[in-house]
Amino acid sequence: MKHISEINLQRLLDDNLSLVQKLICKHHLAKCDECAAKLEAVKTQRQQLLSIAKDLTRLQEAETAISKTSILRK
Amino acid sequence: MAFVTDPNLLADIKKGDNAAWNLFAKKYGALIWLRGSDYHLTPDEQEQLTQDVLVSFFKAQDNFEYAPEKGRFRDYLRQIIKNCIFQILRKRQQDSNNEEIQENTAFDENDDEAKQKREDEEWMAHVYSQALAELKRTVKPRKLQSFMMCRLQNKRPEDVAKFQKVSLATIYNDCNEVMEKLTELVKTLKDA
Repeated sequence: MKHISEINLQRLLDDNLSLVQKLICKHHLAKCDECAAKLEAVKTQRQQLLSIAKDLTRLQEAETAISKTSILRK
Repeated sequence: MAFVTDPNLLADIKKGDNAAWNLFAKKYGALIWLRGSDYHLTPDEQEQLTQDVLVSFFKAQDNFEYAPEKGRFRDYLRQIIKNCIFQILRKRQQDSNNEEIQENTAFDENDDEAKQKREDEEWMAHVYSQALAELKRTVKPRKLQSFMMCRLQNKRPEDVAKFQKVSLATIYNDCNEVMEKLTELVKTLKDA
């Protein structure tokens, strides 16, 4: 049984597969626990990245604040 | 423990080298600053905290012994930050002459779990920030931009493809390639 590639799982989540590809993927996911788990992992990873992105923005704001202080030595 | 195992940097720190100070401040300063905001410190106190932690760290280097089996650098830094926060809050309390401890301070133990969670999230963001900085040196800017736009800014891949004037398949390949490299880097940096 050929598993769904990581890129096709990503495309499936974005609704960027052709109708035929989408049907093939859905059919496969219904009977393949491994790919179903992988799809869930991809979803979780995306959510984690978006959450990290918010903290990355806070880190950048903190870096800007530090650059306005005398903490960095010349 | 990449930072403290760099023998040259460690030597420079002990000599009081400004470049070593700045390297450390750039790497960990923002993280320390954020810890202060989680404890509701004022901007002046956050600046004080960052200075205090850096000074404490540099002073401690004289007696610091590299012993990874005793714990992670992350935990070592965390303890220094916490000590410095408590000192600032104690000083604030003394200055205001309050007998009652103010609300929204670090002494609110009920809030400890939430603070721990924030600390973990901020450390993870710090790790990703370091990893992304490394990727900027090794990955083509366009590929990194694809990843940043799709995965961090939540833009639609087809919009990013139009923006970059490349195929949709290229964008997915970029994201996949960058994610693999990022995952590897994060794995090595995470438990340092």
